[in-house]
Amino acid sequence: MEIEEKNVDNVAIISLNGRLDAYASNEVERSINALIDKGSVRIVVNFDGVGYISSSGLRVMLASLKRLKKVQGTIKLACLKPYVKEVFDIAGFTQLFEFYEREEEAVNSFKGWEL
Amino acid sequence: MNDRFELEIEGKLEKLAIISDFIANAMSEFGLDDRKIFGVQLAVDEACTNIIKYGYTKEVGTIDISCLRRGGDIIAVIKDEGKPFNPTTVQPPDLNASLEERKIGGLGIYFMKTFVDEVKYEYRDGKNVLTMIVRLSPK
Repeated sequence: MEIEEKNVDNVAIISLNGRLDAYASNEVERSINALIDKGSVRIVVNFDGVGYISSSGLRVMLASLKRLKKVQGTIKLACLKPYVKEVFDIAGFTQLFEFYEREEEAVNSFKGWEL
Repeated sequence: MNDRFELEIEGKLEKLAIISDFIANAMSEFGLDDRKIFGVQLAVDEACTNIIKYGYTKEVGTIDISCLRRGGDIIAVIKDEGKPFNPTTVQPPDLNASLEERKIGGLGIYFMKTFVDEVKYEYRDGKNVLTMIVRLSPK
C-alpha cells in the first residue's frame, strides 16, 4: 500500500494506492492515528487508487471516525470506485460517512468549519 | 479448460494479496463476471483473515484453498488447522446502529454470507473446512 499525505486549507488528505485488505489496514491505521495524534481533526481519505477493500479497511475508517468525533473532528471519503463504495453500502456505512466524488469537493465541504 | 485450482499458503496477512490473485484467476477461468469475482475474492479474503487473526494465534499454519466447478456451481473450499471456529453461527452486526452504537468489527463474516450464495462449515480430521458456493445463473 502506498500512502501519501498532504495538507490543503488545513485539511489533512491521505491518498491510498493499493489493496486495502487486513495487511494494508494496519499500515493505514497507523498513518491516520499519527495524523490525529499530531492534532489533525479534519481528514479526507482519497480512495482513487483503491480497487479492493475488505472489512478490515472499513474497520479502520470507522475507528478513525469514532476517534475524530470525540474531538469535534471528522473523516470524509472521496473518489471511491463502484465496488469499494458497494462494500461501504452493504455494511450500512453510507449513513455514517460523507462521500464525495472528487477530493476538492471533500476539502471544500470543510469551509466554514470552526476549529 | 481447467476445472480445479489449488493453493497451499502460509497463514500470514501479507499473503492475502496472493490469495486474492489466485481466486481472481480461478474465477475468471470459470467464467464469472467481474462483480462476482470481486464477491468471491472478498468472501475468501474475509475467511482467511479470520483464520490468520483468530485461528492461528499461537503459531503460523497453512491454509489450503481449492476452487472447483461442479455442474452449475462454483465451489471454494478453505481448510485450516487452527482453532475450531464455525463462522456460520455468528450473528450479523446491527447495520442500522448509530455511530456511537456501531461496533467495530463483526463485518467480515457478514460479507462472506452476503457475497456468495451459500457458506457451509464442518470440522473434519482436525481441520476447519469452510465451503463457499456460487451458483451460476442458467444461461
